[in-house]
Amino acid sequence: MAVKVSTELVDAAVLGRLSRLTLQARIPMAGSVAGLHRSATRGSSIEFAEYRKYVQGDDIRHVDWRVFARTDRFYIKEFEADTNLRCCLVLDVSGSMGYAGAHGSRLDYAKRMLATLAHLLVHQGDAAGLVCFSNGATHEIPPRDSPAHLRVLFDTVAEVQPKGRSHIIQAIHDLSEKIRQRALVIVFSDFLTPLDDLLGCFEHMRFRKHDLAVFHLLDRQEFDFSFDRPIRFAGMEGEGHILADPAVIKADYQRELDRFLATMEHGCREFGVDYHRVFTDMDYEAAIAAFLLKRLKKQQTAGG
Amino acid sequence: MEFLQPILLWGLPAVFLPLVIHLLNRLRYRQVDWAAMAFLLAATRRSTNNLRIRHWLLLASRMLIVLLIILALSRPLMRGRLGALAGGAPDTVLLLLDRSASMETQTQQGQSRREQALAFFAEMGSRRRTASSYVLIEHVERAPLELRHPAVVQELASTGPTDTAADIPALLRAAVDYVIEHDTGRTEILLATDRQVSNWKPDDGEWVTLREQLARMAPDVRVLLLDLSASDGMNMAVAVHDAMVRQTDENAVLHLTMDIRADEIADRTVPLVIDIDGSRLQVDAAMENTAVLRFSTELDLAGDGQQLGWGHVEIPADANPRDNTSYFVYGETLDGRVAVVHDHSRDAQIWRAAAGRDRDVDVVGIAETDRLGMEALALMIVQGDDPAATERAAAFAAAGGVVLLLPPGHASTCSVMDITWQEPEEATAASPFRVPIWDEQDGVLARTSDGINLPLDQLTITSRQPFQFGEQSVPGAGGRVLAQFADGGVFLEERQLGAGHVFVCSTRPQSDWSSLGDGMVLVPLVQRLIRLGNRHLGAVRTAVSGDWRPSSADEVWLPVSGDDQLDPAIHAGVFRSGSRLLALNRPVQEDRADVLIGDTLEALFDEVQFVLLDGSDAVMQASRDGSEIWYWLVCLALAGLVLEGFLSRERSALPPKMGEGRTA
Repeated sequence: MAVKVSTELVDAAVLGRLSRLTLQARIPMAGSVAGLHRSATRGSSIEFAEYRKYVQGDDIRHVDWRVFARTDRFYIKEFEADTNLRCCLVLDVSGSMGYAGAHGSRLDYAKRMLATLAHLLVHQGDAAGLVCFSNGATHEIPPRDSPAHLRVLFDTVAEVQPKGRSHIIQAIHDLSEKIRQRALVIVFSDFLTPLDDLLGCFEHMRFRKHDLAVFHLLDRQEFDFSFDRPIRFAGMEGEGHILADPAVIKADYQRELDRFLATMEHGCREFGVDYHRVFTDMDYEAAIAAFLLKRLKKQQTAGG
Repeated sequence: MEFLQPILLWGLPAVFLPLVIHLLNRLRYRQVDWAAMAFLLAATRRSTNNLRIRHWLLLASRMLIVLLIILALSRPLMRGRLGALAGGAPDTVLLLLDRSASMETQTQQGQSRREQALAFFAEMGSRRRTASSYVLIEHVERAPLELRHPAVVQELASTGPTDTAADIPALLRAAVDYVIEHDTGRTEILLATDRQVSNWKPDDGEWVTLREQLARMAPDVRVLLLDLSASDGMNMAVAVHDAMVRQTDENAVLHLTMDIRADEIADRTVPLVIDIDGSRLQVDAAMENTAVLRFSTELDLAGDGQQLGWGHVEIPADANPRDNTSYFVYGETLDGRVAVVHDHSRDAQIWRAAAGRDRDVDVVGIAETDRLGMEALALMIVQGDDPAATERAAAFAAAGGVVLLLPPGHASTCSVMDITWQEPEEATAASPFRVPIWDEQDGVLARTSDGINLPLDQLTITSRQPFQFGEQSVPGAGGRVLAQFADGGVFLEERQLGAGHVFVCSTRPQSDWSSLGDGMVLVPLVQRLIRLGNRHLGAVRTAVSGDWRPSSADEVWLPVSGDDQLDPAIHAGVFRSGSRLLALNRPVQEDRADVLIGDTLEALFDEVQFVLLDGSDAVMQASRDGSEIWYWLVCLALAGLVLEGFLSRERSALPPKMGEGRTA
C-alpha cells in the first residue's frame, strides 16, 4: 500500500522532463563525497582556485613545480572541490495545510512537489532528508543519497496527515541547530504564523549558513476571496469560527493578506531566502522547473 | 396623512423585503473550512467600524426606496403647512350638480345617483378641515350659490330631483365663468354626473373653448369628476310619443303611441298601467328581442271626445323611478300656420313646398310685414334683417312661437334678437362648406323615429354668413349649436327666447347659397319646427321639462294632481292654467343609458388637470383637503436609488479584482 501511495506522489513523465535540470545550491556546500556542488573546501576538480605558499605537512604532490622552477619557491596549486549537498526537505503538516480549494488539498500539492524534488536530488547524487512537523508529532528522516532511502522518504510523506496547530517556528529553529554542516533546506508551508517570529527563523538559518528555500503554498480562493454569500468560516487549527459576509470584509481581508505577503517577500529578500509563492491551481511541474531554473541561472551568474 | 389608493398600503410589509432577503442570505450561509483565519479575524475587526456601517446604510436605503415607492403609489395627501407647500388645499371648491332625470337611478347603496352626489358633497365637506369656500352650481339655473358648508346641499330645494336634461358643457361654462369673474384662486371644480352622453354633448363646440380655458388655468384649477354611472339593476323607461283623439262612428277613441326603452335587448312583457282622467287600466306590451319598442293602443273615451283630458302611462318600478311615468293630455289641438318674411320673391315657392301643400303659408316681402297675420301662427321664417320683421318675430317667440332666422346677405346687427351678422363667406363649388357635425340625438336635426339620419353631410353650401349672439365670440356660447361646419363655424343654432325658440341658420335654401332647397334636410327641418310651434297653440300642449317656459309672466300653471311640490319649470306632470292643459315630460334623451366612454372623456379634458373619481369610494378619494405629494416621494425614491448606487459602487470598488489591482 505504501509503495502504491509513494508512486502516486511522483509522475514519471514529470521526472523525465525535469531530469534535464539539476538542483543547484546557491552557496558552497560541505559534502562528504564528490558531487555537483561547489565545496567550501579546496578539492581535486579541474577548476583552478588559487596558489598558496607551501607549508609543512602539505602533500608535495600538489606543489607546482613549474612555478618552483621559475621562482625557486614552493607553491601549492589548489583546485575547487565539487561535493554533494545535503538537502533537508521540511513539510508543514499542520491543520491549515489540509485546506482544499477547487484544485485539491494544499498538503497533497506540497507532497507531490517534495517527492519530485527528493527524487531529483537523490538521482543527482545528493542526499535528501525529511522533516515533517505538526502538533508535537515530528517525522525526521536524515539525509541519505540511496534510492532505497527514497522509498522510505516517500512512504513517510504519503502517510502524514494535516493535523493540529503549526509549530513551524520552533521546528525551523531546531533544524537550524540540528544540521551541523551547511545544507539546503527547502520548506513547504502556508506560513500562516506570526510573521516576525517566522522571519527570525529565517535569520537563524542564514546565521547557520544554510541555503534556505521556501515554497509558500496558497490556494487561489484564499487569495481572491471570491464568495457570493455569507460564509461560516471554520478555523482549521482550532481558531473557532466566524460568520461573515464576504462582500463586507473582502476588501479588508485582501488588504491584510497583501500586507502579509509583501512583508514576507521583503523579509525573505532581507535574509537571503529563496522565496517562491506557489498557487495550488498551478502545475507543480512548472513551479519546480521555475525553482530549478532560477537556481541554475544564479549558479551560472556566480560562476561566469 | 390620507391616501387616494389606501389599498396599496397593504404593500407596506414589503419594506422589510430587503431586510428579510438579507437575513435569509445570512441564514443561507454555508460552512467553509478556512486556513487563513488570522486575516479574516483582522478583516472582521476592521469592517465592524466602517464597512458594516456602510452595509447597513445600504440596507436602510433599499428599505427606504421600497417604502417611498409604496407610499407614492398610494398617492398620499399632505395636510397643513407641508401640504400647502406641496400644493395646498384649494381656496374654492365649485360643486357642480347634474340633477337630470337619469340621476334618479338607484345605486347599489340604496340611494339615487343625485342623493349619492349630495351625500358625497356633504361628507367631503365634513372631512375636510381647511377653510375652502364652497359654491354650488346645479344644472337647471346654473346660478352659483355660495354655501356656508357643503353639508347644507342636502337641505336645499335647488338640489332636488328634476325631469330635465343636463347640459354639462353649459354647466362647466358657468363654473369657468365664475372662476374668471371671482378670481377664485386655487380651485377644484367637482362635477357629479352620470356621464350620460346626451348630457355631455361631446360634439358641442363649447368643449373646445372650455378645454383651452381649463388648460390655461391649470394647475390652479383642476376638475374632479365624480363618476356616478353605476346603477343597481336593469332599467326601463316609457315615454308617450303622441296622444291623439279620433272620432269613430260610435264614440271617440284615444290613440296613444309610446316608446318603451330597456337597457338590454330581451324578450319581455311589460305591463303598462294607463290612467285616463283617474280611470286605470292595464295593457301588456310584448317586447321581442328588442330594447326599444314603439307601442300603440287605442282606448275608448267617454263622451264625444271634444272635452280636454289628461292621463299618464306607468311601467313597473325599476332602477330609475323617474322614467317610469309619462304624461299626456288630449283634446283640441291646432295645426298652425307658417309665415315667411322674405327679401326675394323667388324664395316663396321653396318655403311653401317645405311647409306642405295643405298648410296655410303667408309669404310677404320685407316691406309688407305689417300685413302679416299672427293668429294661429306656428312658425315664422324671417329672411333678412328688417327691424320691423325681427321685432315682430322676437315678440312672437317670446310668446311661445318658433322663429327661423336666415342670413340677410350683408353684415348687420339685429339688436332685438341680439344677433350680429358678419360678412358673407364664399366657397368654390369644388370645395364647398360641409356640415359634418350635428346633433343626431335630439332637437330638430335628430334622427327620424326609424333611426334614419338627416343627410346634412351631403349638403353643398357655397355661401354662408357667420353670426354670433350678443358679445359672445365663441360658437354656441349664446345658445345651443345644432349643426357645425367642418371648420367649427355654426350652421344652425337654437336659442330660447321667452317661452319660444329662435333658430338661426347661416345659409339660405337658394341655389346660389346652398343645396338646402333640395328639401332633403329643409322639409323635415321645417316640419319639425312647425310641430314645435304647434305646441303653444290650442288648449292642450305638450312640452319638454326644462325647455318649456310660460309665454308670459302672468301665466300660472298648477299641477292637476294638486301636488304643490311640482314645478312646471323642472318637473314632469300635467299642469293647468285656466282652461288650458299642459303635459310636461322629461326629455327623451334622458331615457338613453349611453355613457360617455373613457377615451372620449380623456379627449374632452385633454391637457386639463383632471381626476376621475370612482363613485364607490369617491368620498374617501376626494374628501382629502391635502395635496398630493407622490411626486416628491418619487423624487426621494430616485435620490435613494442614487445613494444606493453610490454605496453599492463604493463597496464593489473596494476589493479590486484579479487583474485589476492585485496580482498573484
